[in-house]
Amino acid sequence: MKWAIIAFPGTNCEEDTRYLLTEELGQDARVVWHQETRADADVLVLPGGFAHGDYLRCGAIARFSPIMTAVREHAEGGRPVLGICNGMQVLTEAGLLPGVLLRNDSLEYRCRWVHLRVHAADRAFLGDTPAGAVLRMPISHGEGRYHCSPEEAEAMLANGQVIVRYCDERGAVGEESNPNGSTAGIAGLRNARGNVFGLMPHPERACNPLLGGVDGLVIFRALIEAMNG
Amino acid sequence: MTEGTATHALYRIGVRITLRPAVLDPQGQAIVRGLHALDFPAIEDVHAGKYFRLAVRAATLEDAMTTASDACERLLANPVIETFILTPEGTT
Repeated sequence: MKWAIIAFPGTNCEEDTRYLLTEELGQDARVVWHQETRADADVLVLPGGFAHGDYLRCGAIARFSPIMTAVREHAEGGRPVLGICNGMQVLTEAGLLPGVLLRNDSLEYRCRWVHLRVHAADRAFLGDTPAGAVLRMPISHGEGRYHCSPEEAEAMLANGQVIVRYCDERGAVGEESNPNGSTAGIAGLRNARGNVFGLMPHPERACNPLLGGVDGLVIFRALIEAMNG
Repeated sequence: MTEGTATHALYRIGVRITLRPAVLDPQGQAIVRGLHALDFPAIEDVHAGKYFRLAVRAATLEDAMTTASDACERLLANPVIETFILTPEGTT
């Protein structure tokens, strides 16, 4: 299967993601520059970084890059899109995911490992990882505070759109384990249709024991399994 | 400039963007704490926002305001979290 990793000016995780996919997982993955108009892949990944310098609002300018028409068509065709960190911010600004990412409540950049509780099992993006499982991945962001209205959060917690929430090492969700003030501790969620997934943590940085963890692999393996299905 | 706009004026439009009241504003809160530390107890609240000044070529101020409003709705503000106020700031 083919993967396209979308790079904007200021994106900085495209090579990590490409390395993981090609070298570790044997996939056919290429980096696609934002000025291109076709992605031609089974799965699109919007990686981390600071697209267009995060000027105005993170992700706001990237949404108008030429490649975004192809990203939108891919998503609207029901095919998988994964947004990591800045990629999630771009997807929310583009309206492909609900809500928005704001400055961390601490006003500080957070770069550390966090625990994530699987709130809802999701075959497409987490394979057979059950609800309640605890994953460990790094975050690295200054604007990771997921915001939506309390009513939206409640609805998305109930209908399975919220996939992972910040938690402590035992899996308890609470203010102490919320690194940025996200509404309901939301770390990653999908669209209503279930084919667009965005998360602030970096699964591609948790894919080899040398990096300190391998939990990020579940996401990429789930996508491979789903496409090979 | 497109043909036919040569006689149009250049309107300066101020755009003030602020977070909706329900959205937490940690930047504003941090500024309040700083002001209190500098002994400005009378300043009880601060809301941080953004300001842009647009130069809009248009036939009338009304047209310029409409263009600015469209720009805010499509890019300059995110309606999920922000509201905007436009203020005419003269012509050049």
